[in-house]
Amino acid sequence: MTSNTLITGIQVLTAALFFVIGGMLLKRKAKSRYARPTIFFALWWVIVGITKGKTILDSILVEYEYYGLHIGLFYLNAVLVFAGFFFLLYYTLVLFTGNEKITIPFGVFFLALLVLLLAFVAASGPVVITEAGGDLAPGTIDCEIPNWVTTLLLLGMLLPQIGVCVALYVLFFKLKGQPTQRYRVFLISTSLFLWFGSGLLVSFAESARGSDAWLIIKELISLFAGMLIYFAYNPPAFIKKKHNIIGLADENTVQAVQAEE
Amino acid sequence: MADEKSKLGLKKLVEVWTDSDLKIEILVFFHNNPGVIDTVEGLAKRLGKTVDVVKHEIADHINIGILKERKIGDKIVLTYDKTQEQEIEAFIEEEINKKLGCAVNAKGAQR
Amino acid sequence: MNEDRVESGLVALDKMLGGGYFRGDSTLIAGSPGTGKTTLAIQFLASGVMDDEPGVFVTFEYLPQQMYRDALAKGWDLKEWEKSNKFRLICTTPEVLIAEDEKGNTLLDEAIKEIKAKRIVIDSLAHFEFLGLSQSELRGTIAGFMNHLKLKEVTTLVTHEIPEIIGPVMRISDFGFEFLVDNVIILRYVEMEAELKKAFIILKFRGGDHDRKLHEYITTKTGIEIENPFQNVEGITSGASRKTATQRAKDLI
Repeated sequence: MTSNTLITGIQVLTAALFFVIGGMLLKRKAKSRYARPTIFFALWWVIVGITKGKTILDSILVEYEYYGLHIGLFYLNAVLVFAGFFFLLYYTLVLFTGNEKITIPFGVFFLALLVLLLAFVAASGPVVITEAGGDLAPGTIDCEIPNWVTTLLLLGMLLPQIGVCVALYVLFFKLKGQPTQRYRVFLISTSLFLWFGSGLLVSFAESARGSDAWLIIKELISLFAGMLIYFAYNPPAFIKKKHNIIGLADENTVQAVQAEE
Repeated sequence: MADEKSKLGLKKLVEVWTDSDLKIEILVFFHNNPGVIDTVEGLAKRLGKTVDVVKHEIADHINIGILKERKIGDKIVLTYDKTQEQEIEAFIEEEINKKLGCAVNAKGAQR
Repeated sequence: MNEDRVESGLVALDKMLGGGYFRGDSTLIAGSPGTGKTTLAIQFLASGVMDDEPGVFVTFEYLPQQMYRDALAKGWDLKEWEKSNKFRLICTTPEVLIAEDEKGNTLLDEAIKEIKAKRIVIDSLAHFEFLGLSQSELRGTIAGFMNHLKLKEVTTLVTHEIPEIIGPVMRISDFGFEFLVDNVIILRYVEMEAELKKAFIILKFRGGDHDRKLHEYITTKTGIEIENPFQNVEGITSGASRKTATQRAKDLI
């Protein structure tokens, strides 16, 4: 098995896992006033699955030396990633403030960043790398974006998400007497840290060594992050019993019984 | 003796029934709201009428003792005498029945 | 100090007050329209009827027929109470209420004497503002009135309407009524994530320790029911309360 096949295999598993998580959370019965943040949170995980799927599709297209879709997929992915980041931030802000209006400026900010990115990419005349060799791998989009824009995009996108992770970790310490929520928030925040952290770690490692091993580690971390979320909502039986934690399926059953009563 | 006086008073009120609805309105008002203690001005406000009209209309009520006037400080207030409550209740019932009877008869005539 | 306590008519409130109101004390119940001030006051008198402590309800606001009807809907037959001399309902104006006859007696004194009343409700104090008195005169009048009732050893509840329905500003009165009474209870609406709830607050309780937590309460068919304190909620006193993140976590995580 080549390292590429292994990487793709892990990616497929990861994407599938995130789709399952997204689907599972979309079915969650939320109180009406929390319907939107609940759906957005589920959509965030669906988008994580889609972006992973996009990476897989890119690799397959490269394998077949077809480069006609790469630029379109890049634009689509950019839109989805920005939407996903906004959804996650929206969920966290509503969780902490209870106020949905507070998310509007963040939405505008993310939209502005997205427009900025797309405008610079489009204006620079993006090209898909088709030949191996040089710094860029085949399938990569080569475009000229000023450094300040790259810095602004990185900071603008990552800082709020880091804030999300930190906030959720803080919440873990505050959630006393709510074992299920405490357990879930711990796994969710750890997963998010891993998800964002793995990208940063590997981009650093790649530039330092250019080794496939780092890419495999990155994908394994992503898979592990997905598993954490899965187990956050589907805790193993021994954890349920020992720590008095309920799964998403139990939660929906409890709500259905309450509604019937 | 008191009974005779009140019956006389009620009878008198019945006689003026056609003369003034406001008299009955005041009677019913105090019957329904026996705890009202107010000046004529206050009563007029509660009834949505002018002071002069109310002052004129309550004279009978005071005469027959259904309403009592008393001086408190610099104010003269009206209070309702609940001792005649049963009779007034019967009287009001009778009047309502009469009205209802008229309404039924009117309906019958129309047919 | 008189340690004799008078039941409020609500078990939960008695608990919050450490056993009830002190006998002879006056309590201001301030709240926005529809918060249940009158209901709370009748519950107080209903408890007195049960305890053989007759009460007088003075209303400047409602006609007796409205009071009878509304109270009956909640299971309190005021007319029956009146027949058994455990209750008197006086509907008048503040100027008539405070007027004295040549012997110095007021209408209220007569009612108290007539049924040996131990509990009084004045609904509501806001109407004294229409007397056309200056601020200091009004304060003096009400202070005198309250002192008079204290000397008669009747336990008094006075209601007062706060015009603000909801919001960060909550002024009880321009005349400082809250300083003329022993205790102050606030009933107010609080907005909690697009839901209007009601908060029960004991703002002041002279002479005793009391529950300082903000309790949720509901108005049921049988009167006011005080529930548990608001948990994990911030900003209740501002009117626009928020659940904390830990509370929302139950629904969102």
